[in-house]
Amino acid sequence: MVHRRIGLAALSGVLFGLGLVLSGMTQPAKVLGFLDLTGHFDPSLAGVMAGAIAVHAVTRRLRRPAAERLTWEKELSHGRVDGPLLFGAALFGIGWGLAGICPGPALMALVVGPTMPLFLGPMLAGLHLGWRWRMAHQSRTARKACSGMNVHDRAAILVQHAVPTRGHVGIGPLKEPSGVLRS
Amino acid sequence: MEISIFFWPVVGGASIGLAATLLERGVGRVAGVSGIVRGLLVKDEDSAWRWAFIGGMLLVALGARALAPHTLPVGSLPTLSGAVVAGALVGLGAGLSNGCTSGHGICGLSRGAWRSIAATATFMLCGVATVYLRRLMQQGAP
Repeated sequence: MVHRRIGLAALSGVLFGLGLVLSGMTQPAKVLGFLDLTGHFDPSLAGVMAGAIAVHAVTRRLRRPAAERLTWEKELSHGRVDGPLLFGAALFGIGWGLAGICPGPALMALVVGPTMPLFLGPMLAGLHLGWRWRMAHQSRTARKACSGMNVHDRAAILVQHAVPTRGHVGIGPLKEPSGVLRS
Repeated sequence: MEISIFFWPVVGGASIGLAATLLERGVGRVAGVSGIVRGLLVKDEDSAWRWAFIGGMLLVALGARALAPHTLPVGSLPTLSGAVVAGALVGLGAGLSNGCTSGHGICGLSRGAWRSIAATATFMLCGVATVYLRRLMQQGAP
């Protein structure tokens, strides 16, 4: 069972990488052309998103009990559109627009030589920092929301705000931050 | 406009969509590269599948290097400082917004998640604005 799971993850990685290479997402010049709306606009990469969403949206529903899918969706979409989400997405867009490289292609470029670690190193550091920033923000928001409440209401609020474990707020461990993507 | 320019992007996209379904249904995880990598930076006993996924990607990258090296970003980063700044922004942004082009732009949009729709619209807009401003500055220079 464990081996099957690992095998499927590897197969998924192969299909994912193949998709990035075939589609042109690993070529920064193409990505920058796609973002260059008012210049030499190259719309072709819109096909990547269209193809991926069409296939994923359909195949994730095929022969699958709706209840199982809905549980998964509910667990992932617990949080709300908040400041860190929009601010983070803005920073991401600026970085993407500067280099034409997003995290997947950055990883794959590891095999082509020594220039990429210059991008990948800061990216990994930023990823870790950004995530901790988000967690700190979430637990701050939750603590503000539940000051002066009894323990039951408090627990409900904390679950709602998806506070990470580690006992920032001292109500015992919550299993996993549920307002965030499990990836 | 030649419609055929969309052929390979759509084929590649379909492959990515299939990969996302495989990971969601077979492994129980979201196929977001930034999230998969971030999980490796902290202690997490469930990291074998993450390494397997990244291993699969790198395998393809090695194949691409051998068969079609022009498809990988060789020396495409203009300057050292440019690479560092762009990398840091991409990482920080993906960490803060909890997703990148794949996690929000593909998986999130396929589910119709509001957070992902907001994030994708934001990073697209900022990407377009960045390219625009940069070109404006380059044209302005003598």
